[in-house]
Amino acid sequence: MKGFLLTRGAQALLVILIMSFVIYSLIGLMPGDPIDQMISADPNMTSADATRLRALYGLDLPIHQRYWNWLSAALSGDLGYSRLFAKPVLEVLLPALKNSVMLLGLALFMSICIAIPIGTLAASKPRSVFDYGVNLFAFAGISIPSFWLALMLIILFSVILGVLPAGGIAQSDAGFWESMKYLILPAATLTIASVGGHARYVRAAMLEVLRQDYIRTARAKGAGAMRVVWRHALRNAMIPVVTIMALDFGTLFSGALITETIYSWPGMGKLIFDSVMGNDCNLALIALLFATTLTLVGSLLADICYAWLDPRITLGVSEQ
Amino acid sequence: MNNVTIVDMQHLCKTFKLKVAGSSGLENRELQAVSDVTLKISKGEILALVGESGCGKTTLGRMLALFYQPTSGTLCIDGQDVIGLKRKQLKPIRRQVQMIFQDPVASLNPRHTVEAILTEPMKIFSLYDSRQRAGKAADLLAAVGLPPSDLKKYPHEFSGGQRQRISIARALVLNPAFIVADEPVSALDVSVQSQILNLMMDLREEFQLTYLFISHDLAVVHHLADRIAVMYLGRIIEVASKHDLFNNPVHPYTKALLRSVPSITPNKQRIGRILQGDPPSPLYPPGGCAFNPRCPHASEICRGSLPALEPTATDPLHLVSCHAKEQLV
Amino acid sequence: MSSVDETILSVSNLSIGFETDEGLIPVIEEVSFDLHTGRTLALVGESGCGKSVTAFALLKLLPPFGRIISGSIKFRGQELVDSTESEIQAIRGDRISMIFQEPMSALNPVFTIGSQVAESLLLHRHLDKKMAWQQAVEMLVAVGIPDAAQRAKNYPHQLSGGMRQRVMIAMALSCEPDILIADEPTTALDVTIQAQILDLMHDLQERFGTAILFISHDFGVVSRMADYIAVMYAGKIIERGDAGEILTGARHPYTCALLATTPRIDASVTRLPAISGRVPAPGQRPAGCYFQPRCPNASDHCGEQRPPPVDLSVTHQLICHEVVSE
Repeated sequence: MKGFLLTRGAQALLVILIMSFVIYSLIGLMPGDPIDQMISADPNMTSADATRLRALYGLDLPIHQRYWNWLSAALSGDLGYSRLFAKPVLEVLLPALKNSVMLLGLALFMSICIAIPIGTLAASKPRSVFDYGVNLFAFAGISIPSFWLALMLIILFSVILGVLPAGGIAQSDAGFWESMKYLILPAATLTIASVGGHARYVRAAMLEVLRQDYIRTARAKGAGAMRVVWRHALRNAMIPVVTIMALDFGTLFSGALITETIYSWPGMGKLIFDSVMGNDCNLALIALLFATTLTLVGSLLADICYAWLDPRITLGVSEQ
Repeated sequence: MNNVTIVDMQHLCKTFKLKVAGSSGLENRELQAVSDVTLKISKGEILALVGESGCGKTTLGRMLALFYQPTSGTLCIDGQDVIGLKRKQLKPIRRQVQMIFQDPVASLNPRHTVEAILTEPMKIFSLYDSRQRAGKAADLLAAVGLPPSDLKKYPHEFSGGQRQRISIARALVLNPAFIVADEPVSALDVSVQSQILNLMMDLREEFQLTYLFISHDLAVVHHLADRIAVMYLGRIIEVASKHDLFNNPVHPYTKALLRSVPSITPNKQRIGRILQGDPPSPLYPPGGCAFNPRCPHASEICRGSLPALEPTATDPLHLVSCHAKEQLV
Repeated sequence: MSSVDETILSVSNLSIGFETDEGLIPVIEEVSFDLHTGRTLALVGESGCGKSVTAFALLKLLPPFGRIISGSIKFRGQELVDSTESEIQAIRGDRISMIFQEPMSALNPVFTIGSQVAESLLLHRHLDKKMAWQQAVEMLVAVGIPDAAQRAKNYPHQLSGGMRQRVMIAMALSCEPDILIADEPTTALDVTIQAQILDLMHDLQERFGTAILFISHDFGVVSRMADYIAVMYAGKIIERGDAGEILTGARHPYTCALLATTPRIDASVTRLPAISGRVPAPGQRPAGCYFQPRCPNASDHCGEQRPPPVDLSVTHQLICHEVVSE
């Protein structure tokens, strides 16, 4: 286990390093740089000023040298300044990250809590009314565009019923319920969009497991239908499902741009979008790297879950 | 049967390198799948290779069919040393050796018609034009007892026995001299099994074939083989003609194996005196004779040193690898 | 324990069909047999003859598209065909239990073997967990698993094939059932391991007086195990009798052909007699005798009328037009 974590940790560091270079280069290749924006903001600036500024900020150097400068600064703890927000990058990033984790974490948690039982029930009674119902609901969730759903929910709960706020986020000194109120609609939008896919995945995995010989053994032992499904089948069915859920864990941190925008939720999705559009290289770079890192953490968690669910897997080795 | 040697193995070994979970994480280990096999197969004979799962009989068969490179030792096929040959140099020899597999469902490509399956080897070796290829495919199908109309069908349209017939026809396309048949009938029902066994016997006459017949089923081997080699944990422990092996088995493992085969007579009772325990893992082979932990005759010498595969005192063609063989004859 | 030879389960005229797009297709037709305590009945036949379907029907474990069309299954006087799911659940694994061909896939990979054996005891004996575990370990000792207390904590993939089948047997026998259904229990095993498992089943039958329904395609194995043999072909029992009557005195052309075509270690033939043709699929069975298209002795009326039952002795019966009782 210790050796496994060390190996995987080293691999992850390498991936992050490579990704940082790739992202840095891609941002560097984008047309325009911060000085261009200064030029357009300040009509008195001459081209000599611009050249001087470029030299001052090191923007005239070749890309690998710029990257090297950035990397050495980053490793010594200086992640730079966000130009858009005029604050250190971390001070901008951390609140947005907290908001995204809260919103998407809740949505993923709800989605899993709903998808596992309904997917399992649908699989245990295939082609029943319930099964068809789950299928219909799943396809509806997958095919309804989230911006439309978000607007409908706002119209219903904020405009007509007036029980929930249409967007924004609670003041930092607001109580728990008061903060939750702002969370409900965006979380519900994201949950509805993802629960159908998750439920169908659980259902497919469950159907596969219910065909296995050991399910027949369990029935031959005298286990009832419920016990067969929930005790004998579920744990086996969860093994493939964990993969999908772990990949979704990674997306938690890149945010949900459309939903966050509609509900004016200050999360990572909106932050990354704004920073890229505003040529805020430092912020964009770190935000994207965070998303990469957490995707890697997600897949590591999935592997640990495998080993916990399936005794045939010992971490780092699969036994014959 | 003449005495031309068609396959000559000398000290043939195959080792697989594996990573296994040990007490302190991953350990690199070597699995000796086949160890020091020295054996000759004469032209025209059926040599059966018997043994239980994991004994290395399939690995040995695949080395002879040129699927695996031996780790050490020499292997001559039709007088030509094949060790260390490059892909290109091996290609003409591949025509001489073909393999028939256990599972006729998995070994035929479901997206190819029978005609495509049968003509592909000829295309690979650029033999004949397309009309001749189709004619040859139809001839082969007739030889295995299927009508030419089946050429246009796909494998899923056939029963298990018919699919095995197609596999056999596929193996015969290039006119091989030597066929490795790896459990060719064990997936089939007994009435179909007998049809396939009869077919293999007929084709042997018609095409002058030599078979290495790999099987775990001693009754089938008893019906078919001329000579039998018994494998245990990667080594050949006894080789004899069919008659000698079934009537005067020497090695304690061979004896136990034969005793375990139920005969078809009403005899509801315990078999008794059977071999206890499981074969050891080839990853952790015991010292000395591999059979010693389960052997009723094991003594100090069996635990200490490996017995050589040598003729018995009475019969130069009956080879046994056992320290106690003279007492057991 | 009940006395040996008491009839404990009685199947009469059982017919089973599968729902398909073309309607209900009969798979098993009018199968009848009895099981006796301490005795083994072997159900023999080639793949697709319906022997496994028959076995699963006894526990009402048919696939979702399977239907019992008619007939009766009486266990100790209780009719199982009409019984409710909860009544049959109380019998499964307690009074009638089952072992399967593939001991690897028949064991749940994510639970320890100890907990899988203990589960039957939890379900039927309502023991607490600790007691059930203890009894499971005792059961593992009884089926010859060395170092059972430690082994009980292993998962199925950590055991050899033979050991897994021993675990299956321990699981099946943990509640000391009246009937054990064994569906090809040694087919996936090597011959020396097969010998061990067959001997184990003998010992346990002697100890518990279990009635065994032994399903197999292999006459060799059957001759070791069976007191009675019933041979199935295309969903029907075509011949039945004492083991001796079938193995040495079979009269039905199919049984004779099947025995002759089996390679054996104690006799040599230059050529195995083959049975031409193939088994008719359910739904495409011929009008008269189902074996008639492949039968060397068939005459005209074999293709037209169902063959009549023929009694050769009190125990030996078959259905055939061409065999007459002496």
